[in-house]
Amino acid sequence: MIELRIAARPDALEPARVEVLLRLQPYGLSARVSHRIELVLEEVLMNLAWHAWDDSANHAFVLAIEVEDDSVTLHFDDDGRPFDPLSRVEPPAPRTLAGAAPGGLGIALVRRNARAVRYERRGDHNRLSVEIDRR
Amino acid sequence: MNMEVGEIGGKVTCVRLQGRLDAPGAEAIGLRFTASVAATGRDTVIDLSGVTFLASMGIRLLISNARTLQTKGATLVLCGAGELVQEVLEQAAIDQIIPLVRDESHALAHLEA
Repeated sequence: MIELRIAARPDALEPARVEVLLRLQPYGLSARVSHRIELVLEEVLMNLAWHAWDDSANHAFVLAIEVEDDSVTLHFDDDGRPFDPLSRVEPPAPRTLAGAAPGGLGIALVRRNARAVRYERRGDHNRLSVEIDRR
Repeated sequence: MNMEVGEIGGKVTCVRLQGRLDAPGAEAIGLRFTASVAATGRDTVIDLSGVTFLASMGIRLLISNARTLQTKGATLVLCGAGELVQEVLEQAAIDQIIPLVRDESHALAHLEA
């Protein structure tokens, strides 16, 4: 299991992305799978950075990565306020430019790039698990 | 993320992007992008052939500029998206609301049609 502690700030995204790809290098993941991982990492990190805490103090979360033969699962663990991204109803696909909803795009992209997404609240922690198809 | 602004077809703005249109990338070019696109009110082609990665913040930048152009009677067209970038655009259903074509000449043809 790969484990990293990542600051919940937008400027932590690039170093985290590089570190994650470096640690996953021995697994020889395809460009498509790596792309899905980068996308999920970005969308979840940005969501945490903006919404998970009410104060302006420094916060961090733990990312654990489980690599199996047919999947890569990203487990995000944070101590922010209770938030289940799956409980939000996804806005319908936009049919006009004027009707394109500004929010919800990040979670929608996570869902579309994952085989399964699971959330649970453990004590005062949120745990979001995103299982990505490795094939 | 690098951005180059030019003109094609005599009166169409062409913005060529290079690099990652992730959150930091979108933030880096946001103001200049909006000044070159939405603020002009001109038909605009965004060439994505140099874009290696696209996430939701980048998509929002494209949508907001396309929307503003539309209110000014102009059109934004995307072109040149690589396979993975195209996939993200389709996942977000952006291809349903913003024209997405193969390359700059197809984009110009779309605008002239």
